[in-house]
Amino acid sequence: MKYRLMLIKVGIKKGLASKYALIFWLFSTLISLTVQYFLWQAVLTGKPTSEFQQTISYLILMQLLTVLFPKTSYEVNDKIRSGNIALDLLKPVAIATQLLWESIGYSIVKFALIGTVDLLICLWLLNFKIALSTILMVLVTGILAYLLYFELELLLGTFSFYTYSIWGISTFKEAILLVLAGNMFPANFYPAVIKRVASFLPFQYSFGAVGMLAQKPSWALFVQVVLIQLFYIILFNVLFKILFKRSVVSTVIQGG
Amino acid sequence: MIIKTKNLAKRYRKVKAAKLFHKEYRTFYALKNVSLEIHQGDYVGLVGLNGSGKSTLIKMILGILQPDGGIIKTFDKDPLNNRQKNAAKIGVVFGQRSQLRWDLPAMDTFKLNREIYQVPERVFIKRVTKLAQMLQATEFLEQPVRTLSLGQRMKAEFIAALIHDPELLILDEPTIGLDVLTKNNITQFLQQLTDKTIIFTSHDLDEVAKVCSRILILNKGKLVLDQSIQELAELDVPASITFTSADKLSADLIKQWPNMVQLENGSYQIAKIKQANLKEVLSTITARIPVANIEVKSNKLEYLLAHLTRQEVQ
Amino acid sequence: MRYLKLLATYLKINLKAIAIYDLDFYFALAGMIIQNVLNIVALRFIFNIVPRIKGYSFAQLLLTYALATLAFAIFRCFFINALNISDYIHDGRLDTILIKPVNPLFQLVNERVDEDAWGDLIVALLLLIIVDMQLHNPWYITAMFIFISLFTSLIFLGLAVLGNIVALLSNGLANLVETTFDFFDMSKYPLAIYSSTLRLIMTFIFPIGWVASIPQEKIAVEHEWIWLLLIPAACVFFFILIYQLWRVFLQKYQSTGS
Ligand SMILES: Nc1ncnc2c1ncn2[C@@H]1O[C@H](COP(=O)(O)OP(=O)(O)OP(=O)(O)O)[C@@H](O)[C@H]1O
Ligand SMILES: [Mg+2]
Repeated sequence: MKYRLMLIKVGIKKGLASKYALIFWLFSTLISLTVQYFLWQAVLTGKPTSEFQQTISYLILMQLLTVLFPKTSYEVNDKIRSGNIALDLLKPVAIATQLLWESIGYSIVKFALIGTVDLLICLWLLNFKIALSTILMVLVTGILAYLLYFELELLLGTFSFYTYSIWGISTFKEAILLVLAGNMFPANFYPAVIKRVASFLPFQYSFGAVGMLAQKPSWALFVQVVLIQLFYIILFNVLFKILFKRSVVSTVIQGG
Repeated sequence: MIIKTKNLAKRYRKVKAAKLFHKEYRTFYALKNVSLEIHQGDYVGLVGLNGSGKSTLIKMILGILQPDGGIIKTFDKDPLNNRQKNAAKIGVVFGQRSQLRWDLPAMDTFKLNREIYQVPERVFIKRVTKLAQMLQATEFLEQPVRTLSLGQRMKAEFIAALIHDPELLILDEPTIGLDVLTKNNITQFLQQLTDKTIIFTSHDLDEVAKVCSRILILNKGKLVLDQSIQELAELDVPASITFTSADKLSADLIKQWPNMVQLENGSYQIAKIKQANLKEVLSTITARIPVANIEVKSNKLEYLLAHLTRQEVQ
Repeated sequence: MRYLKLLATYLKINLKAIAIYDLDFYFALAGMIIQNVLNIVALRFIFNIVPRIKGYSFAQLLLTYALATLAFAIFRCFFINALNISDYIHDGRLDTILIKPVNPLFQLVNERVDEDAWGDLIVALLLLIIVDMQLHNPWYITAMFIFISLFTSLIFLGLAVLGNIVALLSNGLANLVETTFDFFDMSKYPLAIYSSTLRLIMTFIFPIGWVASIPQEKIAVEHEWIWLLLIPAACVFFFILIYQLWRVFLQKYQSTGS
């Protein structure tokens, strides 16, 4: 546990060191929210204001998740390219553990700055009316979503044992998230077919599902989402372990 | 006249303390009262320790830095306002900086420079071939620059700087990190160049002396010496001799040279030998002691700097 | 004339540099095309909710999107290196540029191109042509749009240079430069959706409205041909303004050496 705390600290230090990057992110987030705000205001004219409020707060939440979630695949790719992965493999702690706790530290810093601003805007839009149970649901599913996304990134990063470059894959991932995860676009506005497909795939459970709970909190949905999230987290974890082992073995053989 | 300066000065702001939201600065002079003239055909060595202001002077000559006092003229014009015009007549090699495209062969940068300096195609081919021959660089010009060794890259930098046959060639520590062989190669190359004016900066006086006919020494922003290489050679700079020997030295020899010391690695060193006595000391050593290894050194720059600053104080 | 020849040489060399990383290049190309298609699909979803947004149909909104993407793709293909100005100053490479007898900004901008922007360029051009056909715009309107995009890309160039200057003067906010990408996001929608204050800002201060929204309204809808001159003039004016700022900045660089 002490080791994990230290990793978190490392992540926090990294975040604080790049304070200018954080300010830029905040600025960038605000511009992006402005665009979303006016776009959806225009789209939803004539509809009840509550729908607009919900949509925007949903989008802000999605934006926040996008900023907070780690870019682990790039880190893994870097390690593989530079050969530093060999050093990490020598350590007595699983590589996934190192990456996870460090990125949690980094995300904490991001949350402290960008999260605060985002949430304030969100609350203001909702006239500061929000149920405690909603906060709880969002928090729990949000953390699970973080883990799920992290596993997804790990898996992607592992692919770069084979492809070497990660650009193509990660563009593809972003493309999928764009449509299936509902992070750019509220999932409940999807056409019915896509909505169904998306509800079976894992992507929505790291973004859209959290937002849906924030919009229309219900315990039934909460339980359903958490169960599916847990299922995918475990599945991905197993997959990652198998794939990683095979990749390491095969690259070692290839590397001679 | 290629370059003329009068009482040239430059001050910089240095950060004294960095607080969270503002920084405290102090100003200091990187160059002070520098007056000099460089004529057509001069081979000038600009020497000084690190931080003495060499690069600052070069930048002002090139017109990429504005003086804070005094006058400077390059090609009889204010370099700042005529930067682009003057640039066509100047070639520059920065030892720590590259103008070559990293991911492409050096030849592509040459071609780009051909367009930038508007060199006719025929002239260009002839010039590149000749320069490459002189520098023994023909084989690697089609290789991506990132795969070149440092020495090979520097040779390519020289060619890139000479594509437009500039009147004035400025070299800012071009031999930094190169081995003796490559250095010699470049020195020979510079000696072969004709009808150019060269400014060669370095902190190694001996190296510059091989190429240049005139030496300028900067110390803490002041021009402390401006002499021809002959005058400099006539200066009586004491030398030091270091030698190793398997045998023990006899007592009378040790008495003869009271300022001889034994270094930590076991070799002996006699410092501050006057030029006039050097021959005699050397012959005594070789005659009386079975030396395994012997070396004569004169640290001219250090000596001059110490000497010249003392003179100033007086 | 001389600069045109130089431009051709730069282009040849830059393309050669890209071709060296061939596999990655195609990956990236494909990736950008996929993203564009998905962006359009997302836009399509919006129109499942409402038939028109502030009077704009799906095709019209696509036209705005296409115009913005085209201008931005031109920026990325040819001017992307403007984003790196602060790097050049931090590691001293600006000096090697200043000692050449060619305009420094011109050299800077041409030292690198963006390898994956060509995918964007292709998509944007195709999209523009298809949308114009759907809207029954005659061919010369498409041609006019392409002509105008050459100028509107200057707005992004200006914003990138501006971002760099601000970043350098503020000592370290280097990432501010990336805001150019956010401005691009703003330019993808008609000015009509924004509030009146924002509309003013986007017209007269950060002229992103001129990238897509104004050309679309004036040329495709109202057919006021005078804007064929006014829009390029506005772009050039904005760029000249920024260019003067850049010159002031260069002077400061020349007096402080950093
Ligand atoms: N842009 C700058 N801002 C502040 N101080 C500077 C700047 N450039 C140089 N200096 C300072 O001016 C002094 C002279 O620097 P300069 O680069 O001219 O030395 P130099 O003789 O070329 O040294 P070297 O042999 O190490 O290259 C140094 O103390 C340096 O720290
Ligand atoms: Mg220097």
